[in-house]
Amino acid sequence: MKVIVHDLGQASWQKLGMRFHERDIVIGNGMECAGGDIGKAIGSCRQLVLISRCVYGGFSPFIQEVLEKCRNVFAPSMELRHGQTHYVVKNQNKNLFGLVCCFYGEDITPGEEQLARIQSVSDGISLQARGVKIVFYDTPDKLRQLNSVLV
Amino acid sequence: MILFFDGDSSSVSDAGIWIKSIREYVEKEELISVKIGEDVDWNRVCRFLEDAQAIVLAADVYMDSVSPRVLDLLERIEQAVIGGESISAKFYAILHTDLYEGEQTSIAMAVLKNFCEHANITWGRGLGIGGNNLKAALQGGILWKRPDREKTDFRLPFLHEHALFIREKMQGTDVYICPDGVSRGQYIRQNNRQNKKNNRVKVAEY
Repeated sequence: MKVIVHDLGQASWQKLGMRFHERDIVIGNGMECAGGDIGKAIGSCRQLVLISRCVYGGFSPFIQEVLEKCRNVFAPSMELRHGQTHYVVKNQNKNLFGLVCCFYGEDITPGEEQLARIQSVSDGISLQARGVKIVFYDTPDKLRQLNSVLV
Repeated sequence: MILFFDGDSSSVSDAGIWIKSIREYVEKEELISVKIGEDVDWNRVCRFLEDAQAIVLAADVYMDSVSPRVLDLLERIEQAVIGGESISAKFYAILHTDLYEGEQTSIAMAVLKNFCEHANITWGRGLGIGGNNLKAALQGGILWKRPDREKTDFRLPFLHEHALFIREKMQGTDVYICPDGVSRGQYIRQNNRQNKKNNRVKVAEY
């Protein structure tokens, strides 16, 4: 099962014609979804896909809001990982799920692209993803190519 | 005039420390504080942005980013600049995290710098504070061994230094700090012990 979180408008999203399996979950802008549900979904998926406008080299406010709602994926306690303190991840799929971060935007500078890559990897470490794949597209239309990346 | 944006989420218990430490050093200059939330009066903020000589943003960092509300505000400021607003102020940031290493705010700091480039605002200086969960460490008594706690808060000398840069509108190198005199392991153990204690209290109350 995969969870796709995107910040696209309804029309742009539908135009993409993304392939889904029956159990896949899509969280989009304007959709009502409680924090606990998002955390639960992310905590049990095989692939977490974040489709975000690249904002100053990071995620858009909507994607960041969803990530903040996932606080219950973490226990309040800390541990040492890769030489740094991190919150303990309590979801069942840790080290099993893949994180795909897909950024789009027309004027993403090389510096912003590099920063978005660093943030994606860092968030993958925080969430204890098995691996992180990062892709960039200059227009939302090109997001169709994402189908080849998704499981 | 100094414009202070309070971008802390409500869960931060000692949010007042940031503005208090700046106020101590900029007595004569007007200091206006705006809490970033849903009810921000945008017209008022625009007037302040025009007049400000320094913009200070204090915010907590979670998953390597400032909160979505802060990101929203930054985008609105950029749009205002594109729309003809002129901002001559320098931008200063105070970012903090409960995680031990101040460097864990560096990605969010870089995002703020990219915003400044987009909005044509001069970057002043950034202060990234790690180990900000002082309450846990305080109650365990590992951070403050002396009776005068105020003086031994590891953040204060750095906040005062930052306030001087803000007062003089100087640019400086970004600084990242962590609790002085407390090891990573001690901090983690104390934090986890305090969380367990809090959970027991919650269960008892329930």
